[in-house]
Amino acid sequence: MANRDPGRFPRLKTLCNLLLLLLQLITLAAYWGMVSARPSYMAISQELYPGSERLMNSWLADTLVSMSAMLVVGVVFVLSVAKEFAGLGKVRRIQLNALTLVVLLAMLYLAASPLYVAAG
Amino acid sequence: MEMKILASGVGAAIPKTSIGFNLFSGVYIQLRRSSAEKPQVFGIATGPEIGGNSGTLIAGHIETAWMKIDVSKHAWLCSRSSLVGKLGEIELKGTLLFSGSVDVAFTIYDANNEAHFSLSRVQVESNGGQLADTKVRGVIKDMMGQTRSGSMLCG
Repeated sequence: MANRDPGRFPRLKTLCNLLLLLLQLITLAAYWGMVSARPSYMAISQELYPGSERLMNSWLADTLVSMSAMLVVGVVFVLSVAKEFAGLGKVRRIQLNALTLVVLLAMLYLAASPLYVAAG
Repeated sequence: MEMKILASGVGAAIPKTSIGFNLFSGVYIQLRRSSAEKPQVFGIATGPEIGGNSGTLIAGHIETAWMKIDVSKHAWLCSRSSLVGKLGEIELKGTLLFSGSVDVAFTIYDANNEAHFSLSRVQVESNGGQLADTKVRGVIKDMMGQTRSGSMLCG
């Protein structure tokens, strides 16, 4: 995260970038927690949908609340950290971090929301 | 008796204020008499809404450890009729990064929306991630579909 293009408000940009990276890490931790809790959700799912082998009878939940989806989320986060050392400007890094956060949040939303459909 | 909470949320709710936007929040409350028994599951879920009823700051998912509950202090947890169909609120406070502890508050409101029963527990071992608080408020559903008025969950 070297200071390659100080421009205007360099410290604000650095702070904003670090905040976005922290939010990505929190989202990664939340996703990991959700995948780790799959057995608990599966036990609830088997009571709610005894005839279905899919998690919460949802293809989306079954696919996204899995270790393979967790690996994809992990790779996205690692690539996001790696690009900090790729010589990009601060503004471009902030834009990419914001985009990555939106992608991670979208994945978390798509995975978690079907888990609670029956409780709504 | 033992209780465990599973909660998730995505939104932009600012902790300790009623300012925020909730994209979705959900919680499962699992209750069991002992570790050898199958848990009974109750759920609350809310969709998109503005305000401080439910929400989390950006994203959160928490799975608490099983908490021992003293039924002599919280006999209300023993009866389905004091849970199902009632307005309930679960609040999980504290920053969590993969593993750590959060504070848990579980409140049941009466027909006049006045707090009727409450249980709070601090430093509950948990897994998952959240930046600040996750709160879910809504009508409690019996997920097992076995609601019998007054049936006891405790021994």
